[in-house]
Amino acid sequence: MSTPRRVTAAIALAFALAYVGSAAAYHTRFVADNCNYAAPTPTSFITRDGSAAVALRARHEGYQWAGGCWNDNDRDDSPNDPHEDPSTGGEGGDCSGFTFKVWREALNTNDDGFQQWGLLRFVHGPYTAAAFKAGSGAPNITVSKSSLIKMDALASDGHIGLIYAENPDGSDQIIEAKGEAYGTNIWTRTYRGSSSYSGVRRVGWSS
Amino acid sequence: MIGLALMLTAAACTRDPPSPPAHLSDGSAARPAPVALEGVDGPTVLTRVEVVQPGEARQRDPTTACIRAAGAPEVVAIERVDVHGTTVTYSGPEGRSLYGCDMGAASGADPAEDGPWCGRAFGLLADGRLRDPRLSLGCRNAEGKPIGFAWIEPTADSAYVAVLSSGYSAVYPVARGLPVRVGTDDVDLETSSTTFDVTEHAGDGSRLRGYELEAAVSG
Repeated sequence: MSTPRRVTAAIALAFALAYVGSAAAYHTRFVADNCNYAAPTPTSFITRDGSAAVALRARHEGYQWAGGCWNDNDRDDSPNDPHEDPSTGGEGGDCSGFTFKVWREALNTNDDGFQQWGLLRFVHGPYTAAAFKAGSGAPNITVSKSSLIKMDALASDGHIGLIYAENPDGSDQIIEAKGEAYGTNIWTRTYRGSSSYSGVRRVGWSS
Repeated sequence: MIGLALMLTAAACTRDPPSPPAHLSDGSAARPAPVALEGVDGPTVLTRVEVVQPGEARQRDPTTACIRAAGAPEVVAIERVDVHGTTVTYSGPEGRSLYGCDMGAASGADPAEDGPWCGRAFGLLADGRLRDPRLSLGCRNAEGKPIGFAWIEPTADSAYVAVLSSGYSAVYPVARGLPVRVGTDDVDLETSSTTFDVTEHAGDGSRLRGYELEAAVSG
């Protein structure tokens, strides 16, 4: 190998090793520096518009596998976390943690009351997407997809999103924590027409 | 006074460790592991495992309900009973995913809708391996305490997976090379997570590896 090629190869190897090293050691300080474990505030009611307002505050705040803590500055403060690693300490919720918080649910699965969690309260809650899909827990029930309205959910075994608005063509605007590469936002989706998805509703809405 | 303090201290120091459970969650008698497991101190409780063949599953209501709800075709299901509850595990289409159902002593499930199952689990596989250790927290034990279930992926040589619990180790025989669904009642509800203290063993009981598995509710 010629000297220039050796130098190029050495530089490439150095970058590769640096990347591997940084990926293995990756974590952010977002949760450690910003999040808390404050007790939630019990509330006596929940409205669909109020719940939508809570959901909108998570918009653009990123995604964290097994996460549940975000601020409201409209950017992901820990972008490009390694996917499906719960220990990376990044900003945002995952799909089921986002739903739990927006639906103001309780850690006790027998409790269908309403708990207002702070944005920076790190909490995921006890439900996976599959659990929501099955209607697990006192606050959650399965309903027909045709009856779903604003802030009800469409859940598959591996994902859940909330209906923000219905489109005239039968698709929905879904607000969801989609993934590390996408963050949390509103997208037009056809989950309602997919056999993989079921309708899920949080019980007890006041309006 | 000093004598009394010494006596109390001695009594505290000689307190018996917690007894291992006498029964599995289905009421059957708990038995020890069939072989001595290297490095596992204290009593062991052998959990029950059964491979349910597709035709057989139709005759077994709970397992059938578990498989039917996922829309699964004919599958081989692994049914397990441990101290905390009963689980079913089976592979999804083309081996790209894994499905599970959990049942505790107090299920809380709607029998009309979901059979006796209070927990549903799903995991994506990449190159045959689960992409994350995902905890399910849908079930409760007889005391009403939340119990968690998660999949452990043993190495190909493993015959037994041992999970350290309070006063004993639960021993799960490996079956069909599928991930082993294990249970615990030691769950941190605030973080919806738990840590499993695991060792894996060959058929003769020799220790293959040991590790702590941190599992969290996610996705």
